[in-house]
Amino acid sequence: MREIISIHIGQAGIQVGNSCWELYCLEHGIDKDGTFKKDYKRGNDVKYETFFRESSTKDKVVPRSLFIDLEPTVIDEIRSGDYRELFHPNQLINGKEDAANNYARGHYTVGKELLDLSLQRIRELTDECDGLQGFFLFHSVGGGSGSGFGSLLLQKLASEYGKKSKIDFCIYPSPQVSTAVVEPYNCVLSTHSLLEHCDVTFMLDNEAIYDVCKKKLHIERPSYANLNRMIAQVISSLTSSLRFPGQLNVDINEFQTNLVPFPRIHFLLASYAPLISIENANHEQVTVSAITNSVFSNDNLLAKCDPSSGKYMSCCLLYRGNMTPNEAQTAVADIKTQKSKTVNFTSWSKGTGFKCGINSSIPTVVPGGDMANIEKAVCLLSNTTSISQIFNRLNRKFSLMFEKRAFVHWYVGEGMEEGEFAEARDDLLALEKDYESLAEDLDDEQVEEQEY
Amino acid sequence: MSSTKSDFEIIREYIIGDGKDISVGKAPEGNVRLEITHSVLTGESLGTNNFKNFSLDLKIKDFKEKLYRFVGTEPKYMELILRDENKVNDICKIDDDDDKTLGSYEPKDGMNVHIIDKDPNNFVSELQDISKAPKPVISEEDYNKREGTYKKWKEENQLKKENDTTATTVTATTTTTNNATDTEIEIKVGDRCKVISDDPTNYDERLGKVQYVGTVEFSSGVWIGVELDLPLGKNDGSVKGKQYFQCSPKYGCFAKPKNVLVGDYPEEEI
Repeated sequence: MREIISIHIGQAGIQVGNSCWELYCLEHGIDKDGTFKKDYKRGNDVKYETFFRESSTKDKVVPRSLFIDLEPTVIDEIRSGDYRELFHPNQLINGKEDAANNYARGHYTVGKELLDLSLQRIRELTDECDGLQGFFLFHSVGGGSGSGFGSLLLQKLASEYGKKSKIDFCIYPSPQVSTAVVEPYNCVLSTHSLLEHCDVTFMLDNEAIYDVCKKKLHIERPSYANLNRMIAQVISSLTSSLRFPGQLNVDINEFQTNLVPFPRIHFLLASYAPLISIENANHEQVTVSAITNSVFSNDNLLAKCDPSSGKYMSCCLLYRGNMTPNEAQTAVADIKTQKSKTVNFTSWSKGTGFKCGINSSIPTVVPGGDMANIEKAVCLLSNTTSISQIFNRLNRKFSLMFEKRAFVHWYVGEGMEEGEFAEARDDLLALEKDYESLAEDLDDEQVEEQEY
Repeated sequence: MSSTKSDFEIIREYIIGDGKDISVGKAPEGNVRLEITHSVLTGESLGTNNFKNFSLDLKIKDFKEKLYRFVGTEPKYMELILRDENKVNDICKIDDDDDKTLGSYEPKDGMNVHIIDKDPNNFVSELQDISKAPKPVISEEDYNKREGTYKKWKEENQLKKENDTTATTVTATTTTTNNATDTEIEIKVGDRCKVISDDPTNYDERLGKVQYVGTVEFSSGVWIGVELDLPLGKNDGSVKGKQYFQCSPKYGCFAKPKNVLVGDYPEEEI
């Protein structure tokens, strides 16, 4: 059945998860209590079982998901929210005291207390699967729960479910806005873990998504609810091939094969198009060619990064809606031709540079959501050397603090050793150098052009 | 029952009417849930989505110690302002009276505590200015010692490639011979042809006419110059300053013989 289990950790992971499940339910005609809406015409080939399982009483479905937080408040919002009947109580786990923005508390002290229960619940979820495909993890890396407990859990998943894919959706700190002074520590320490234990990591940051909401959707003061719904749309596009039939479906393993050339180089950028506010929906023409062009614009990126200063190693274009394979292929050919002067495309040595997926399900928006109902959408997933700009920023902030040993005693007081800081720092500096070497090789590879 | 309002108006009202952020939540009994912002760390536009639960019984001194863990400003340099949930209107200043409790200021869930950093040493501020820090780098020596790096991976693959290349050399010789023969017999200037790509995900359907066959200055080996029917090429028949044939820009393309199929590919009638 190729099931996916979603795990939502910490405040950011839970809130994004709430938006995702809200959207999945809408798209599958599932009501807030898990029953199927009577007026929804469900096709026989719809694969909702990938993400939902039937409850023991067979009259409704339950998400294959787990929500974990070290404190109760955010999860209590789900317990008392509109979708409280959708989730089984066993799927909502919390402790009593948060990680106080401290990776060490999430990873060692407070987080350890929740680990056994979490693993037990995950085991129960995997036992219900016929052919588990992998895990989706949602968390931020700037806070203590998402970074510390997230990396702890990921480590355990890697050792217990080593062969299953682990796809990570990471909210990275914004370049300009800091939630806590120790954010760089939390990020570098947890990224060190993601490097080793994750197969694919999608990088998102709230500032980029805020800008998308403000500039593209014309929302004057975007709220975090807006940001979460934007992320949900991207994740919905990413997963639509797993949940609906399509002419050119791309599954999880193909993401890894096409997008990740080398295990450490697995941090991906996401971009989405069209981004049309309701006021403009009736006026702008949505063609496959237009949205393909748009999705390569820096304005549509969901993490602050400038791909034009790096090189694309591979791209995966996931189309949704009313279109034909020929339209998509023509649009891609146009991109390769027209954008070649501004976008540094370089196929990886085996020529898997571009991949297209097409899924015929129409993108859905939450009623009252911020994006109009549209006929066509595309999500671009790209592996580009410019992602190292994000690591460069983190490494510089980290080093600035660590050289002064600022606040390190807060971590040592929670059971960490100072050597772990140096180890994580060196790993991320090596990653930067990996990207540097890669960019140089891609420069050299230009010489071996297959065509002039 | 039909609605007298358009769908657009209904949606619009929904958006405007329910702008409250879902993230606040309710603190457990005896606690309050506050968003923490800081004069140096946080911008004003987005807010932080950094809500924390605090016991209402907390002494102000202890409250400041907790805040110190989030923002790094020492308690003695903190000036605290309680603001409403829009972070616009100041409600009151939280005094340094250590006997008071947080609850005595009657905070509500969703309100904001804004910390103004008065540190004369600008400790937290300095930590944000990465322009002052030298760019950290890993030494070449340390990088080479590490396992699992891209460079190590490449070196290992290079060894494989060299072993494969030894075998390939013999094959390539044979292939070259065949190509030379094929080139002479099968690919001629004026032939209609189709250009294919080594990239299996490249679905380009590119038909055209052969305009050049032979060696070139920009690369080794024999190359085929094709004038395409559609502007899916890269040049006007010239590469790196040398003209091999003449055509409109973007209609010219050079490919290896193995990527050129000659045959009955009629030009489309317009």
